[in-house]
Amino acid sequence: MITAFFNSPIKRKLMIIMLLTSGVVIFVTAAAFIVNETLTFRREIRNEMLTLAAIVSNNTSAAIMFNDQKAALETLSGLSSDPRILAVHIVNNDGAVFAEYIYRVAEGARGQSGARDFGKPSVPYKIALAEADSEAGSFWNWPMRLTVAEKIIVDGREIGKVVIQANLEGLIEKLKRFFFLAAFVMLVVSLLAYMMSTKLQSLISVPIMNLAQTMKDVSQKKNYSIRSEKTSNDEIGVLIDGFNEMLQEIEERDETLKQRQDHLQRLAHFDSLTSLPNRALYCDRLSQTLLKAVREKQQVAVLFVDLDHFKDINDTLGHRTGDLLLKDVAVRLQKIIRASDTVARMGGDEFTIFQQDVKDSRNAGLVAKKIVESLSQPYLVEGREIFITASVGITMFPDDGATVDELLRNADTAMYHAKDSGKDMFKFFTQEMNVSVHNRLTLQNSLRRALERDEFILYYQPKMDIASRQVTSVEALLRWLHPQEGMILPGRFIPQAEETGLIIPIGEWVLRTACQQIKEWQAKGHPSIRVAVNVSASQFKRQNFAETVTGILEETGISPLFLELELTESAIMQNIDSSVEILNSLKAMGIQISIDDFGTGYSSLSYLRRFPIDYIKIDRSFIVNFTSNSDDRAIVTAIIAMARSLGLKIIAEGVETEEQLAILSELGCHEMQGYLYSKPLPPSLLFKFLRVNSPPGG
Amino acid sequence: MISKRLIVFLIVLALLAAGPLQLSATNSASREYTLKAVFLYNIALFVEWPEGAFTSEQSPLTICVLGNNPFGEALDSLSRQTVKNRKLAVRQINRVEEAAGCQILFVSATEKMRLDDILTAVRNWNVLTISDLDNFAYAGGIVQLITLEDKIRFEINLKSAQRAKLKISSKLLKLARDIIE
Repeated sequence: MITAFFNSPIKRKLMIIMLLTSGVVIFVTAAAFIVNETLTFRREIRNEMLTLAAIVSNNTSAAIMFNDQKAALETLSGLSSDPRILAVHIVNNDGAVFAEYIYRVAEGARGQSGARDFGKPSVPYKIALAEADSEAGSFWNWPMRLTVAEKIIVDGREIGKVVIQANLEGLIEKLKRFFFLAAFVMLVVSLLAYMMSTKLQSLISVPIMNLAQTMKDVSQKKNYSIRSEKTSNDEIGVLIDGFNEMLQEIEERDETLKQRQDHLQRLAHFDSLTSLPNRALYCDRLSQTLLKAVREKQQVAVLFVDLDHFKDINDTLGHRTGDLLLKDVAVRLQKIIRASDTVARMGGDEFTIFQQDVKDSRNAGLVAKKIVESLSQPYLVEGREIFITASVGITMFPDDGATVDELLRNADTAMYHAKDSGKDMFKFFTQEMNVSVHNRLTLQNSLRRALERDEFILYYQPKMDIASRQVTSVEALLRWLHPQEGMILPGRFIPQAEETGLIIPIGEWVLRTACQQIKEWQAKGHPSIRVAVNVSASQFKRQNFAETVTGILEETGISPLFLELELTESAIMQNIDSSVEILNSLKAMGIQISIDDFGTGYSSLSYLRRFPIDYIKIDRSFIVNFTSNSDDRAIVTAIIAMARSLGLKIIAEGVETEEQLAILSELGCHEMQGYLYSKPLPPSLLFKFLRVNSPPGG
Repeated sequence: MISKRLIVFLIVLALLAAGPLQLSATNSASREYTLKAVFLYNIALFVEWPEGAFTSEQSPLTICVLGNNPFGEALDSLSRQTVKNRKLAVRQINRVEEAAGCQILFVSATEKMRLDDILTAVRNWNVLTISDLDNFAYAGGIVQLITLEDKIRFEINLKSAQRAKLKISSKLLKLARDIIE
């Protein structure tokens, strides 16, 4: 029962509580009323009977005095109209009945009075007396009749008594009526209470049920933006507020989660620097596009874009500048392509594009041309003007490949061909290119074996002092004597060596061989001459470069004074602090330092002040046309002037004509190197040359 | 049988009312006058006299018997009773003039011939006249005792009572067989 109550809905609980409360209140009220009514009724009837007895006493006193029973009975007969009066006895002081009135129901009469056998107490009178004695009975043990007695007094003397017995059945009747009324009222009130409680309980149960419903909605729909409406400021209001706050928090948490997911999504599919799609997204989109292209028999063009010499920008101007430049490149690419095309960054300086529904491959060519032209326009990065070009390879689906991988690989191959063909251009993929790729791979393999098979040799090219026309030193130059292809120049295999990492052992081999050569010449009694060795950037970057040099010098036992190292600008600009340190230690040993290919990099001359440099070699590209090209001449003039002011010696490379030499001499260039004086020579031929042009002090 | 019971009752009643007063039917006075003596006393209880009827607070209520005294010793025993805090006094008189100072005047049967003179003489006195003479009330007496079927009843002349400035209780009037106005 109690469990059932606790398990019932709040609505029912409230109703039960209200009904119980009203029921108890009515019940207690009715009970109190009944008790009060009973007591009042008894008191009133008693008072009434006492009054009546007093009247009877007064009215019959004379009759007793004058022994006039008739008169007494007349008086008593007046009482017959009151049905409550059961009996009236007038007795003298002896207890003998003088007159009596007895209500007789059985005989149907309203009442009958008589004076039969007066003198001895009648039976009803005896009962009456007994009852009168037990008048102070307990509340629960009422006699159904009430007896009162009144003395009859004349002139201060008691001459008898009036004893009245009253019927209390009226009370029963009255209580019965009251009971039925109370029951009726209770019914009506219960009904009212039921009706009111049905309405009133909703004040409490409806907000709670609404809250519960909202909770269900939220959990079913997983919609945390739903809110429960607050209707009051009581505890339920507090509950609803708390619930809503909780939802708010969940919603905010969801939002944060969603943002993070989006962010992760972006990271997974987009390049963080340029905001372009990354390789994964690009490949996904391309594969979708290919499926569609197969269905609709369309062509798709895949373009592979690679910036030329981008590495130099990173190396000389820093990664920050490089990154900003890549962003500019991305912006330019996006401007060129159609909305339906996708441009992505594959990593580094590689970008890929695909175009859907290409009617003719020439259209792809036009786009590639636009890209090449657009990317070669000057860039302004952090107030600095930068020039860069791009090479583009194009493949067409379905002609050049069926899969994403194949298309990209072939586009890459085509791009390499564009680079090999001089850069700053685009190339369509052809099947022959794969053959050359094959060749390239073959070259890499044979390059790997070249060191083991001792296929490399060094040539030496003398450098001449312009003023004295004497040999100052020689530059060691690498040649590959390929068993099948004959002599191969560094331009063909050095990029491969750089790519494969073979440049490190090859570089070391060159250094060691050059030193051994010096040693050999010294042993043969040839005049000592300084040899310049080229050091690649990756070689110089290695932590133990200085130790390697020291080791080789000790190994061969030659003086560092006969060694000169040639480094490119980009090699020493990558990490200026460590470069300065390494160069200082080399310089301290007595090794000469020169900057190779000067003018092709992007560094400013002022930086050079920090390095312990002896020579600057002006790149051959400035010398080739500088007699006719005033720009080149201006650059050469400026470099020489500045180097001289810094106290550096200048060597011009690639000098081929007397005219060039004359101008260089005029500008104050210290030394020269080139075919005008001597081409690179094998060691055996070098000394014949040197004997003719005897070196200073030789 | 009934009458015998009645006598016993009355005697008991008289004893209760009068305490030590002994009413004996065996005395020289007749049974009838013994009852009438009690009546005199009882009637006195239901009558109020005006202020001037008594000479003082302590003066007794005097019953005067004019003419031959028919009560015998029955009246003597009354004299020990009190009515409304006054002692009872009984006097036997022979002339009506002696009735001055009486509150109750019982006119004996012997005075029948002089009744009119007597009533005329006391008509303005504050005296309650009682007699068992026929037509006493009609003649102007206040209370006339009548014997009917062994029972004593009375008639009252209210006019005479009013003239005597006596107030007769309604209870007494209610018991009267006849009231003359």
